[in-house]
This record gives sequence, structure tokens and C-alpha cells, in this order.
Amino acid sequence: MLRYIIKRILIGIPILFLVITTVFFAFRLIPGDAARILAGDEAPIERVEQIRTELGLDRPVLVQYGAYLAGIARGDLGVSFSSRRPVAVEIGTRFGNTFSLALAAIGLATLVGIVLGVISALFRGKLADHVVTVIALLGISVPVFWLGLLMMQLFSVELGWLPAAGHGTWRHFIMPTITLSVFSIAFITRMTRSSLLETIAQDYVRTARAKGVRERLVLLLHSLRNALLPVTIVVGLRFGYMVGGAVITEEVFAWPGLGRLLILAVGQRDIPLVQGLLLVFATSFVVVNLLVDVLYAFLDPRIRHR
Amino acid sequence: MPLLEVDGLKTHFFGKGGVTKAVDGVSFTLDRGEILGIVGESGSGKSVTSLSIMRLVDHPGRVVGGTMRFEGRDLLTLNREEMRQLRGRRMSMIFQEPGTSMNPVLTVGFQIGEAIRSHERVPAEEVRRRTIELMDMVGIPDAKQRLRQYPHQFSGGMLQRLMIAMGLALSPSLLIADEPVTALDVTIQAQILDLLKQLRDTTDAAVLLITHDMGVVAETCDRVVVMYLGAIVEEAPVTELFDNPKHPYTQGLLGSIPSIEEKVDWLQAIPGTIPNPTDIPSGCRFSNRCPKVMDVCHKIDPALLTVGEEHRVACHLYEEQESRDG
Ligand SMILES: Nc1ncnc2c1ncn2[C@@H]1O[C@H](COP(=O)(O)OP(=O)(O)OP(=O)(O)O)[C@@H](O)[C@H]1O
Ligand code: SF4
Ligand SMILES: [Mg+2]
Repeated sequence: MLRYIIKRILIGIPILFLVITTVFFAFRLIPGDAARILAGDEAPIERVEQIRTELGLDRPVLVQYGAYLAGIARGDLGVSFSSRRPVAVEIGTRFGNTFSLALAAIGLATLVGIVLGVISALFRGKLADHVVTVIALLGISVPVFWLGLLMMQLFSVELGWLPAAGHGTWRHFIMPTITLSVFSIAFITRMTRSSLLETIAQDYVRTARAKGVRERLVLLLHSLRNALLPVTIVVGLRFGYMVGGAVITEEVFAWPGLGRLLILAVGQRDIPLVQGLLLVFATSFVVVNLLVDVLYAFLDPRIRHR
Repeated sequence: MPLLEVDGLKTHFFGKGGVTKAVDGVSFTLDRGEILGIVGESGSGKSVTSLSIMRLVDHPGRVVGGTMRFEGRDLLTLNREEMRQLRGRRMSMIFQEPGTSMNPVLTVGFQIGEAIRSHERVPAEEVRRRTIELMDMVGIPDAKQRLRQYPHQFSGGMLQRLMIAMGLALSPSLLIADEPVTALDVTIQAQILDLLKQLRDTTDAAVLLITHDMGVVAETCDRVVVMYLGAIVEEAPVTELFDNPKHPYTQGLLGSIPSIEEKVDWLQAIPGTIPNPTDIPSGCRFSNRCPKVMDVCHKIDPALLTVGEEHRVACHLYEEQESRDG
């Protein structure tokens, strides 16, 4: 088990390294002079050159790359062009908001998705199954911003039950959480359904019945337990996306998280900040995947013993 | 009173493409301490028969006719909980594919113990002790350690032993073994069959042994039932069947093998193809392949007739003989 975890971590490191490198060089290929952008269109050429030197943009690319790597190793992601504050600080103050929203959303999605999926599978072909299938289809196809605005109109503007935007209390969480989780709910529902149907037909489930195991245990321990193995992976993937991909939800509800920060940073061509954000997104994704792999190995002895 | 009495059992599958009469009027009895073989080509309804007895036939299949009496109780009248209490305690079943028949994410010790825990309230320590005992009994070395291992850490033969241990946990009076050795190599096959015989000798359990393999039948069984397309075409004690096969189908099966010890591929043993069970030939179900087919065979389905001591056959060739004798 320990060996497996170490192996997974060792595989994760080169992936991260690749991400860092790609992000770094991609920004060197984008047209536009960072120093000129920062100085502003009216600034004299001397000022531009001064900024270039300050930021070290005049050095050879490989030297810059080395400095960048060294910085990351120290936890230094550079300084935001626009706010002049360290990128690490900018990200750090908002990471918690994004993370807590993602956590709430994945929690909701997992719970609701599994329950709906199980209902759907147990009542296969019956009314309940059809209803759940339609819900899931809607959930997969509904545009996130539209759903967000619709809820906002209904619950904030019309009924006045929930705050329309912002952040602070648990009531602020409700609509963004639902908005962010809808796609995942649908996805996890479908996955749970198909996986459970497949598991129920397995030989070992019949074996359990043949030895007189109680039906409740046949379902929970022999069917659902195994059916949830692939669901774990989907949940992990969705969570990884949420940490980096809550851009629309955060924008709609003015949620002070990394997604909004990214929109801001892109708009201002704040290259260090964009770079830092992409790095954090990629790292979260890799870390979440690592955790999922470890969890999976913990749940499935066939992998643990490899 | 026999331990198990199956009478006129019909189990049909109601699929989209029509009704599959997988088992269509099967009757036999099984006594305590007896090993009864069921043989027949693939698709003849052997597995469905055994699943019907366990009442484990899945949708879209259903038992649509007949009765099954086990230890004097009519199985078809029992409710779910009563049936659950019989399964694993009074009647057990082991399956053809040991590799897929155990849950891959639970330890083998847990899965054997589960058979005990499902029926008795006993402390964990006793479950463990009995699990080890069972594993010892079926010949798994190092049971104390190995009970914490998972199915993928065992070979096919060892898994089948574990399945048997699971089935025997509560000394049931009936063990149904659905092709228990088909997936195993020859030496392991012999060991497993010995184990079944030993079991019968020591506990007086009855065994319903389902197989493709005439060699296995000759070695292990006391009596044999030959199935074809969901029905029994012949039934006799083992030696009688091998010495004096009556049904053209049985003759075909036996005639094509030089010695009963040798394996034979059933599908090649008899010319012609098995009809689809959604479309069983009218009259005798074997008539489209039978070398001795007569006019009457296409019109009338032959009944099972007694043609000798404990010897029954469903074929028009023997009808006169019976009426002469009787
Ligand atoms: N779940 C099912 N749905 C539809 N038909 C089924 C189902 N299970 C079995 N059957 C049909 O019932 C018939 C008998 O099947 P059964 O499994 O009992 O054969 P068998 O004698 O055990 O064959 P084998 O030697 O291959 O195991 C087959 O024609 C099969 O197609
Ligand atoms: S009844 Fe007729 S067709 Fe059927 S086995 Fe006997 S001889 Fe052949
Ligand atoms: Mg079978």
C-alpha cells in the first residue's frame, strides 16, 4: 500500500513539472510585450525598459525559466502586475473560498447523485427510473449561468429568501453550491445507475444470495460497495474540475474565488497571476487525482496488491 | 421420503424475442447421501433447473409450473425470508466460475464467515474459528493467515475449495454443484470431486452435480439424469446408463466416446444442431437430430417411461416394450 502511494506520488511529480514548464513557455509565445502592457500605452520607452529590467524580462528565456522554478520551490510565484502584491498572496486569500464551494458542491453532488442513481437502478424501467433519467438529462444539458440567473431571479429577487451574491454566511453557499453541482449530480447519477446495474448481475452477488445473506446486505455490501468503485473516480475528477473550473458560477454569484480572479487576471493581461492560477489549478487536479488513486487502492484490494 | 422431490418443474424466460422454455416439465428425486448427476449439452437447462430449486432465477425468468418439495416443505410456497433461511443453511450452491463467484473486495475469511453470520448469532471469535476449520477441511493450507487474503490471491482450484467451504459452512443437507470443476485442470478436478464424495460420506448430504463431462459422471455419481432442451430424456443409475443407454440421444453421447474415462466434446458428439429453446420441435424434442426418428415422433411428445429398475426414458421406441411388459 505504502509502496503504491509512493509510486503514485513519484508519477505526479513529473506531471506537475511538465505543467509548470508548459505554462511558463506558453506565455512567452503569446504576442504582446508584457513590459509595454504594464507600463501603459502612453509611457515613454525608458519607463518600459525600466520595468523590463525590474521584472527580469530582459534576461535570456532559460535564465528566466530557472528563476521561475527556483521561485516556485520557495513558494514565490512572482508579483501580480496589476495589484503589485505577491501572486501567492493573491491566490492564497481566495483559495479557501473556491475550495469550500467546491467541497460543498461535490458533497451535494455525491450524495444526491448516488441516491438518485441507486433509485434509478433499483427501479429500472419503471416510472422512478424514467423520472430520474429525465432529471439527469436536464442536469447535463442546462447551461450553468442560465440556471444560476434563474435561481437568483426566483429566490433572491422574487422571494427574497437568499442573498443574490457575495459571500459570508451559509446562506450565501446555497445557490452557488447547487449551480456548481448540477452537472456533477447528473453525471454521478448516470454513473451510479449503470455501475450498480452491472454489479447486480455479477456472479458474486448471486453467490451472496445463495448463502442466504440478507437482501439489505446483498445490496449494500456486495452490490453497492463494488458499484461505487468507478463512481469514486468520477467524483474525484469532478472535484478536480470544480477547484479550477468554477469560473462561471463564481462570476454569476460574485463569489470571491479563484475563478473570478482568473477572469480579472486575463482581462488585465496580468501574466504572473494567470500563470500562478493555472499552476494552482493544475496542482489541485494532480493532487486530487492522487488522493482518488490512493482511496481507490484502499477500497479495491486488487489494485492495492499490485 | 426423498430429500428433494422436483415434479413437473417449468421455468420460462419471458424475453423480448418470445418465451424461452428453459426448463419444461422436469421431474426427479434425490435422496440423502446420494450424488445425482445432471448432464446435457449447453443450453439444455441444467443451470436453470438448479437455480429454480434455490429460487434464484432472475428476471425475466420465472417458475411457471410444477412443485418442489425439500425436506418435506413446498419451496414455491415459502416467502422470501423463509427461503433465505434455507439458502446456505439447508441447501447450498457452488458455481461454475470460481474466479467471478466471489466478491473481489472482501476477504475470503469474511465471505465464508458470512455464510455463518447470515444464519446464526455467534461471536466473531467463533465465526473465525469455524472459518479456519472449514478452510482446513477443504484442504487450504495456512488457513489462519490466508483467511485475511482476497480472492485474487488464490488459484482457481483454491477458490473452488473456498466456495465449497462456504457452501458447507452450516452442513446443509443439499449441495448443488453447477459444473464445479469445468474451469479447473484435471488433477485439481479429481481433488475437488474427491472432496465432494468425502463430504457425502461424512455428512450424508445429497449432492446435485451438474456437468458436461461423462467422465466426471462415471467417477462421482450414483444416478444420472440426462437433459435435452429443458426436459429429461433419460434417467438411470450410473452403471445402468453406461451399460444400457436407451435414448438415442444418450446412445449418441456414449457411443462416440471410446472409454468413459475420456473426455468428449458434447457439441461434436451428435450430428445436427440444438434447436433454439424458443422454438422446440413439436412431438419429440430430439426428432430433428434423431437417427431413429419415426412418423409418430413428429406428432407426439414421448412421456417418460419406466424401462427397467430405476431406469426411465422418454422415447417412442420403448413404448411397445413397456406395454408388452406391463
Ligand atoms: N437470464 C436469462 N434470460 C433468457 N434466457 C435465459 C437466461 N438464463 C438462461 N436462459 C436460457 O435458458 C436455457 C437454459 O440455460 P441453462 O443456463 O440452464 O443451460 P445449461 O444447461 O446450464 O447450459 P451450460 O452447460 O452452458 O451451462 C438457455 O437456452 C438459455 O438461453
Ligand atoms: S421419440 Fe423418436 S425422435 Fe425421439 S428419441 Fe425416440 S426415436 Fe428419436
Ligand atoms: Mg449452466
